[in-house]
Amino acid sequence: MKNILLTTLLMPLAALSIQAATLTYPDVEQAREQAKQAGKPAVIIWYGSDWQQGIDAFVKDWQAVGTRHGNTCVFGTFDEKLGQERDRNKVLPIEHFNLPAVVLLAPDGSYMTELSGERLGNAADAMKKLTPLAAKATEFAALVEKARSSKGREAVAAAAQALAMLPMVDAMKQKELKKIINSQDPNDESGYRAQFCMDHLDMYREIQGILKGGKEGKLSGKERDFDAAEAYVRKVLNSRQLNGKDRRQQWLAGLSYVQRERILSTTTPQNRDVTPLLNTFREIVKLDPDSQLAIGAAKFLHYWDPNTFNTVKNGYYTRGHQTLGFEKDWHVDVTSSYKGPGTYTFSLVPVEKGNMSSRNFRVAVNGKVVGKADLPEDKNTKTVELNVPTLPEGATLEVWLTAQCHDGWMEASGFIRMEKK
Amino acid sequence: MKAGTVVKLALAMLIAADPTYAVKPELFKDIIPGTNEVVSGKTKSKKAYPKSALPKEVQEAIATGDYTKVQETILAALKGKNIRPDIPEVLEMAMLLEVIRETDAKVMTEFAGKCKLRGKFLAEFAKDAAWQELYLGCGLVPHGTDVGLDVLYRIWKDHKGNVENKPLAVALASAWGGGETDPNPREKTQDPNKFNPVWRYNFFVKNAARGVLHPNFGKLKAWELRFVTGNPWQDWDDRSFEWALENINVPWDKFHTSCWAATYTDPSKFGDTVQGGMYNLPYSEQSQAEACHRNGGVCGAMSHLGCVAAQAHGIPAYTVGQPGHCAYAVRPERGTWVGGFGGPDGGMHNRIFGNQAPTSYMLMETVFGDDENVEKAYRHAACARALEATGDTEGAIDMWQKALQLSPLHPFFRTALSKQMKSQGLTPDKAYSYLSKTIPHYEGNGFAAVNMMQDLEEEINAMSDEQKIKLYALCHKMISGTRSSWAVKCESIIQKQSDTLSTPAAQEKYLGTTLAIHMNAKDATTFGQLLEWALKNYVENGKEDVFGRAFNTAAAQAESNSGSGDAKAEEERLKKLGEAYNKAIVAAEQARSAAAFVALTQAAAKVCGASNINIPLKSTVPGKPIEAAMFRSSSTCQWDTPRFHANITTPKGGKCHTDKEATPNFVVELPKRRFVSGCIIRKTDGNEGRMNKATVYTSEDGATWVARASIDRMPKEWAVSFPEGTPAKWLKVEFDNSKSNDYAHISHFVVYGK
Repeated sequence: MKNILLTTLLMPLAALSIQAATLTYPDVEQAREQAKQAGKPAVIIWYGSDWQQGIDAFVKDWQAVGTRHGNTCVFGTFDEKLGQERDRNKVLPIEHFNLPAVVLLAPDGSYMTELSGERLGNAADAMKKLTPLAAKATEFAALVEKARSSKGREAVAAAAQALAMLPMVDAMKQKELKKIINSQDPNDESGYRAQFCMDHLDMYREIQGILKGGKEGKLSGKERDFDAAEAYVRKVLNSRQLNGKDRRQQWLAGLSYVQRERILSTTTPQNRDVTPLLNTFREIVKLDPDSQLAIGAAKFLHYWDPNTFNTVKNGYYTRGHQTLGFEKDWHVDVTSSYKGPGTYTFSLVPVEKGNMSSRNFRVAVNGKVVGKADLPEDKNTKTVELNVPTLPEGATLEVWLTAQCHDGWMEASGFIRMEKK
Repeated sequence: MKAGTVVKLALAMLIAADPTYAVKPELFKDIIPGTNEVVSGKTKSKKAYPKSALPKEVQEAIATGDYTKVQETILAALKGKNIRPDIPEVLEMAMLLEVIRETDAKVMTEFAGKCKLRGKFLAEFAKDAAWQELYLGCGLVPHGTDVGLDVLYRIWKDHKGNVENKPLAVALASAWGGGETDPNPREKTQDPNKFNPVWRYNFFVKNAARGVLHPNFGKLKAWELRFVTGNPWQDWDDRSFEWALENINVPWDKFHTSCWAATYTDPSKFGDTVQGGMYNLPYSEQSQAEACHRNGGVCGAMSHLGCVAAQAHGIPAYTVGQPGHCAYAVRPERGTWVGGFGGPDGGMHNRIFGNQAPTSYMLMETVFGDDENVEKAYRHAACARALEATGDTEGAIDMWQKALQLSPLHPFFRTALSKQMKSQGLTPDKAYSYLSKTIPHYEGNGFAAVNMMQDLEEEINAMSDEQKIKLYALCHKMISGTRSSWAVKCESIIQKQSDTLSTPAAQEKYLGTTLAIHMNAKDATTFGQLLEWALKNYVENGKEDVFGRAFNTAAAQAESNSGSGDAKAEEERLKKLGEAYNKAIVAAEQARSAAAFVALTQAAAKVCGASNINIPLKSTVPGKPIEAAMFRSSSTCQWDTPRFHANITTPKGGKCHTDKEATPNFVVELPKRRFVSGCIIRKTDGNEGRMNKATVYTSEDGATWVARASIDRMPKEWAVSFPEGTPAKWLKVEFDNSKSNDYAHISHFVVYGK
């Protein structure tokens, strides 16, 4: 009897616990309509009520925020449930693969920005980030309308003004405004095409075209028109319109590509001057050291700088240590293999098919060379014998060598072995 | 120095002396002085399995760490015993014997001798029959290597002897250690700092506890978990899993789209082509998933991203190689593999029964889908191996047969049985009888039947033509009921079978029989491949009469009412022949065989009459019509006329009618990649309102589609001009009928180029 009573009492609770929490805001279409009527921006909360982790807290959080910001924004939801056949593009102007996300739309329904993942944070933080842009939503919508309804320079200027209000990553997603600039200013007299409309694929298409000598050109290899390509990229870089950090980084990456191609096609490792190229990479890094292009540029800077060396620490060498077509020194940390003074066999044991040469093996203690392999410096080998002296307490033991990769895929990789004889 | 510390140091020295692990201190940091505390080796966990029923002498042999001795002791203990899976003591010995056979006694002894802790682990494992059962039943058992046991040991050590999720540990051991039929001991080739099975074990255990993995994760068996822990071939690094879990979150049933979390891009942001090492170099310090997501990739990287995103969320997945493309597949529910980026078919980078999808995963799902019986079958298999080891071949054959009664399609068990039967002198007649009874089990797994038959190739070769044709017919009957794919190449099977026949007449009979079987198959891919093979081998070699006879016989067999001789009957015969050609052309389309498509269209025109459709187009686009290599539609129906599909790509027009679909589409394939200037698509007359919203795509690889134009209300005739320099080998028009789920029918899809 007790059990029956308990079960009866618990049943409604159980039913409650399996019911997913959902936001009570209208769907995207209705929210858009309301935003249009009220002349307010719409904040669309894109989530999944039946699969998202921590859904109860999420819903509670966003429901509360909606009450606080109801005067300035219209709130809507896009509940992406399991088993729902829905073309996201029909509902929202962007695709997304990291839900939950929050999308800000202007009163006319135009996409402005989105927050997700780490950028999203909790609801209050997200609203704090969205509010400054939401305050400009009416102005943004007016500019979009102006760009749509006018022609020529006026349309281009309005579109560019609207795009300039957005974070660059969101500006690059504005298909309609970009189309207006592209169609009204095909020769980029305004400079806004390079600023807003050309992603890296467009940029490289343009650069490649110039390199081969124009539309009908067939130049290849060292015959390519590097001067014209560099002049084109520099012209864009000198344009006053190209003022966003990430846009400048992209075009500097384009410049570095032309410089690299010129170096690789017209010089040999012995006679090349990489200073201009290194400066370009440094400029990319300096503009925004945390950005992805800066991370890549820093790697290239290290790669191309003749005064740097690669460190190999974990007993395995791989693509990241390779240099293609020119040599670089490796400093391989073998401290953990030290078993007292004596003769050691040091080996590079390849596991991938990549073609690589290695020579000039030296022993270094605390960054100073204290001995070398009894072999000619130019002898290409993967196994050497090295005499290791007594190491002071806490010292670092390294094997230094000079290596070069010879295959375009840079696939050489393998284990490092250091064994006492 | 305390005695304990001396032991620890001695152990550390032993490990350090192991050349396999030189300069990999991170693997042994818990026993290297000055780092972490030495693991005591005491298992604090509760005993998860009942006490070992192994005889005392076997337990004593285990304690010595000499596994040759253990093997001998078990064999001596089994002498005179009834070796059956329902006797716990015997089963436990059989299990251990099988672990030793798979691993190799010498390898195990060396492993146990490397350090005391390893010896202790191995002894514990050797006495844990339930754990061994998991290990032996995970699909691929690491063979002739200690890599699998090493993975288990490292997890055991990391968790101080308490391995909470043994199926997961076993899955990692299998994925890292490979198997006899798929040897790939990853530990010997990968950077241990980036690909660490212990890290992955901890990742999944931790995130399962956080409740962020797929709800089915906890129910997955070891063989399924193998597809969660990574890909044995072309895997991505550990950090990719962590990154993907945090940064790719879509509904559980949408992970087949998660590859699109990255942008398709070639060249890279630094201008480097994907056809070289520089493409990834700038981001070689980042996890592969993060680098791909932030900087883009092409099919290879994007498919890996989609796959890792699913796996990181506890969903089985694999990447798959295709000609000039890479794709992936995810498995949100047991038995359901959903393709991503053009998957799931092709060469699987993770597999148990061969690398060819769908054959491999369909067989795997069939074999392992029956949890209870496959578990029992593995117990019988262990006993069968024990019987083999004791020299009781007849007993072993009987036991293998019992195992196969429980799991009839298990390929490794079949191979083992065939081997034993052969050792007993299997005659062609006995083999015929055995195969006649065995093949019908392969309903839905016909291609697996072909693989099974390879074990008895010699015996089949020695059979009469009549016996062979009967067996092959049985085999093709199974194939005709099996889902196939362009990735399953049937031509080599057909060629090989045909070659075993001794006369041209027998070969003709074989061709007619197989054509008849496949003509009515639901999945016409094999029929298409068979036709392509027949065209190549007969028509192109001047034997069109043989092909014609075989095809007409097959068509007649497929429609047994035909052939009464009068005019009406002749009309009926031609109609049926036309239907056969229609099926054949659809099959050629499904098999993506341009040669068969063209040849069959021409043959059909000759036999059944050419198309008299001639509908001039009213609109124009720049350039001239390009002759297409082939055409295909997403589906067919009774109102379709595949014989006239080829005409659709010409200005005269043809006729193509899909079935009811949410997204019916039509694809034109050009002979080679080229620049295209536009296309014209025209609806057939009548019911034009069925097709409204349409999109035209182009593709250079047949898998990656770029939308070029879209229209909400497509007119009767839609002319699309492309920007200059638009490259394409394939063009597709797709109708969005998601609301109406209706038919689509067109008369023209003409492509233009300058």
